[in-house]
Amino acid sequence: MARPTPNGLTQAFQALRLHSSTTSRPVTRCLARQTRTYATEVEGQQPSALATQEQAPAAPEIDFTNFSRRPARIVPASPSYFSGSPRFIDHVLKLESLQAKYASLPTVAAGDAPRMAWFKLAQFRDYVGEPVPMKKYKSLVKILQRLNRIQPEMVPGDVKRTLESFLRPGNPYAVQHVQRTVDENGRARAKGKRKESTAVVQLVEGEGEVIVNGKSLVEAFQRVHDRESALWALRCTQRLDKYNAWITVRGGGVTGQAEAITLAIGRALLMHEPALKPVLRKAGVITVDARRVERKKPGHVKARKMPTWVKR
Amino acid sequence: MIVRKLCVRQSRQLLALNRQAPAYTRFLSTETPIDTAVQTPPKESSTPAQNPLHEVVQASRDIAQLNPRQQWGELEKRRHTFNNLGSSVQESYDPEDLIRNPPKPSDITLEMLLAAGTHLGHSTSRWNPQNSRYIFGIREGVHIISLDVTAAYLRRAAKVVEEVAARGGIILFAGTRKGQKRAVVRAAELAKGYHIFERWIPGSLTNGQQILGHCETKVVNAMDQELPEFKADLADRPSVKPDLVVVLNPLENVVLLHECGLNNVPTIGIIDTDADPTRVTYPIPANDDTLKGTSLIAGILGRAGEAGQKRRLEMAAEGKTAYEPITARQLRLDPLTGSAPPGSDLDKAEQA
Amino acid sequence: MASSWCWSCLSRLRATPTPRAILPPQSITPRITTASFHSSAVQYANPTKKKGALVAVKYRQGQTLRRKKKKTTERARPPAVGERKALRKRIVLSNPNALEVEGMQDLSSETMVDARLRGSVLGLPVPMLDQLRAVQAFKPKQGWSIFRRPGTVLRRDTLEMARLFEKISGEGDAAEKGKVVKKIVTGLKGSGKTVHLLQAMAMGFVKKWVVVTVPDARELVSGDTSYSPIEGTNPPQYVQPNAVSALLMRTVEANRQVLASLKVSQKHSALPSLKASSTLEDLAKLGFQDAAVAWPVFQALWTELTATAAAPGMEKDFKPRPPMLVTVDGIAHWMKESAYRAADYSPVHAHDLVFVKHFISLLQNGQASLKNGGMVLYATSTSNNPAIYTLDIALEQLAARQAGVSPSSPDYPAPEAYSGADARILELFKPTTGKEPQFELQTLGGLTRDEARGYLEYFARSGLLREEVNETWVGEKWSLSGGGIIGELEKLGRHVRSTAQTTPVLN
Repeated sequence: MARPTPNGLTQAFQALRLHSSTTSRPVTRCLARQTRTYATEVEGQQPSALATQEQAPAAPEIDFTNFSRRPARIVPASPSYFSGSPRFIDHVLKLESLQAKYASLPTVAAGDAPRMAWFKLAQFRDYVGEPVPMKKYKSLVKILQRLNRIQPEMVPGDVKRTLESFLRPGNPYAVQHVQRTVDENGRARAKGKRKESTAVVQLVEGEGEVIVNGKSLVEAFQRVHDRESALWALRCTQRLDKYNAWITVRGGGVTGQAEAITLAIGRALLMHEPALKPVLRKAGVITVDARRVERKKPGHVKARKMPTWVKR
Repeated sequence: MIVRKLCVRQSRQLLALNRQAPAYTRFLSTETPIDTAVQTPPKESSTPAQNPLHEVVQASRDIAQLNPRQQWGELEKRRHTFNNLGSSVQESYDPEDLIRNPPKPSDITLEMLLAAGTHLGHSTSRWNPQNSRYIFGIREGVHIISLDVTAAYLRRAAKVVEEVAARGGIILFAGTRKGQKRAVVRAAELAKGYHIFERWIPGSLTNGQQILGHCETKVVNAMDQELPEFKADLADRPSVKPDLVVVLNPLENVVLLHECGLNNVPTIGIIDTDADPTRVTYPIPANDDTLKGTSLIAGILGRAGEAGQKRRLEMAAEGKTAYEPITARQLRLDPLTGSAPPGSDLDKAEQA
Repeated sequence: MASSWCWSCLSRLRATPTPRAILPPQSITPRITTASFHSSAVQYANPTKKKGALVAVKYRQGQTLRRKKKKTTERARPPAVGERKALRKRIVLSNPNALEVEGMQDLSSETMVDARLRGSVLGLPVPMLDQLRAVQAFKPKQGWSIFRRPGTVLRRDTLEMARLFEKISGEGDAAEKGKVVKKIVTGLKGSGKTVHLLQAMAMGFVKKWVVVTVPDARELVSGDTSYSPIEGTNPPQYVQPNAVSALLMRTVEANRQVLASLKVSQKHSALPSLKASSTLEDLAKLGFQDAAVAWPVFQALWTELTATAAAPGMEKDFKPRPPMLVTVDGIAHWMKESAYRAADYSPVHAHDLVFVKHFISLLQNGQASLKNGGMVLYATSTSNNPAIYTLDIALEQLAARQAGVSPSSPDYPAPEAYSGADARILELFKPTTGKEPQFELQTLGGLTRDEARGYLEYFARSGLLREEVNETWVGEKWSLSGGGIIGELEKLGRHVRSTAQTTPVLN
């Protein structure tokens, strides 16, 4: 083995966490003969190097004669340091210990628990400053929900404080939705969405005339079925000849546009006649269909379809 | 002979005839009946104190009217009242006990190890011949690990942990298998060490600046009190590396052991009969597949670390350290120019 | 490294095969693909058993896979030429399974102006059906075949038109005899434009007018009929003799009674074979046989029909000519370049076809041309419709003029610059000057609710609809049909199905 250059040796010793005082000796792989200095992570430095000349301006303020002011070690701030995401792990452990501590407290059903707006994933990532995966954050939220289910009168103070630290700023559930009503001209304006389509309906009392994007209903929807589904809210309540609708619909295909109009008309009709809600609900007119096209995946022909299996 | 059984065995017809029998079987007994006085219906007002159930019945009657806090208090009270009734169980095994109050290294007995199942190795076909010196024999195709060897190695490992702790070393407890989380966290808590119970991120030691660079560190004095005035000096420091790593499942943490080997970090590992004992510095031959066993070993090592920390703090209280503390000057040096300081002051100082 | 080939062996093996008496015949010895160093062991070894058939094979026989050829099955005889088109174009006017509607009135000169019958369906008189068929008033895709007999709704536009017919015929109180009414009929798809023309024709037959129709404007410009340039015209004009001949045939077939009663009253130098005492029917028939003279015959017929007085010397049998109804369906096809080509292969504009030009020019000089009065009805189509930007602008201009927007105002629609608008079309649609009456734009909308109710009741009474026709139901269908578009109402009415039960209103 060739004798290494001093520079390379220094680096090698850094890697081995050896003292530079051992540079004169040949490197040995025997662990027993190595001297280790615990409690330091500063490598290759002699602790006796506290030299006379002090250049840093802040130094005089520290009283080194005082033992308790003297630095001894650099240690990780958290016991979860080596996991790579110490803050998150510490949060999890803290919540788990709280859950174990107060496991015997009575709980309420999940629906009765106070509604809490936890951090969204991105907000939580900002909060802890670590790239937390979705799955792990979900498990953390699960613990939060369990703690939140403790009987509201009996929530211990530390649980309350801890839970509050996970709330996102601003309370979205405090905002009460303003019930929208018919405006001074007797127009009810409502929106509806379905697939890629968005419909805006202005419903006024009238004789049953419908204009879609400035065209008649027949021009907008060739199929009778689409026309029927667009006006279903009025039809199932037998209000077809009592309202006029002025509709703007954008995006998507014919079916999507028709069903977006259904939803919008249903909502607009509710503004005129709130008592119709059970009928409309039963007719499925004010139920939002949140389904969207599933994205295509790599390796698939479509969203889920796999390529045909070919032998060789 | 039990009369009841005789009846059942000998004459089913008798039982079949006597349909009320199930109601009476409860009172059938081989013991001699004791004459009891004619029972009079107890007056509720006269005997509330004598009947222990009275209070409970009364409480359950109006428990519905209480608010949730009082209800829970009542239930707790009742639980407290009734939990210690009945037979008293002794010498029972409480799985929580191993976590909550693990034994000290001095408490190690072969019985304890046997009870924890640490002696059970793997099927003989899967053995690693390097483990032959730890193996006691074969039973039903399974290698049995010699418990006195286990105990000896465990004591040695405990000693290592204690000494490292006493010298202010950073001890990392790693147990990434499912269910080892609590034992690992508890051991780290006792030994004031560090824990990892999820996947070891490869490169945490060899590429520490990248992977652990964002994790916080702090400067402490000998009494482990944080010194915030050095916070600014911690920027751009290389990541902290452990001084000792305890691995509960070395087979699944090959990367961790490899990195420790590269970085010259000594390791302690539970070596089952199918593991390679040379991968760790201080093997503990034991069964690594039982959570009870691994919890026991982790707990013992945690206790050892606790003892070492205690010793270190006692020394620090006297103003002494068993290690060379880092100096303020070293902290102030620019870490980017390498650990050898610029202008090689240290070399000069050393030569001087 | 030594070669595995022994060169002497190799040469002996290949070049001079030794006589091998004890060897089996060459053909059945296994072929040695690679000769090893000592090949004798292989060569003298017993031949391995081969799979059966291979021993007996002859040259190029049975080596390939034999598959049965697919037998070609005898197909049914292909339909004769034109049979499919005939089927497609077949018009069925009666459905014996449909119920006879009680008390249904026929279209007559009394009923067609009766406002009380508005919204009811008037049957077309049976003798008139042949005439209507002759002028191709019925179209295949219209739902004539679902009813017992053809009938049309008497709607507001129909009543107005009927009154016009009366006025022009000189029967009404305010006699406007000899007036020419020119209209361009537009409307949404299914709004009844073609049926409006049919009603006009029926009324023309009722009033004994002469009905000249072009049932499909596209046929004249689609390049299907023969054409030839007229000599001495610049820019060259083209005549379509076969199309003219067909028009003459239609006209004669439909108006035989009227034409047979009218005698020739003018001198026609182009037709030397015409006798002085012949009827107009005879005149038109000249064009049947010889397509070459069809265009002069048509011109002669037109002058005869529009004559107000006889030529000197021929006053003997002169009878006043009846008003004329001219209808064209699908006018948009005439507003573009046709499929015909000029001699230099440049496309011929539809307005350069003489026959087309003749009808088109009626918009501008209708009064001058139709001296006996009449009606010019040109309908657009939406089912087979070329998109012509200039025509859209022109119709918008027409609508604006009708709404009272002066052509000089900034609101007056104009074609965009550089849009390449067709100047001839804009010229055609310019407001007329002088005595010539303006032509109008008539936009057919939907039926009113009452009309729609009458129409849907007709379905119910024909047995096509099994539902109770009441106010709410009609209102619902009226909304669904886009405000009473009659074609959509027909679709809804003939839709025999079990509709979803509408939930009753709770309050």
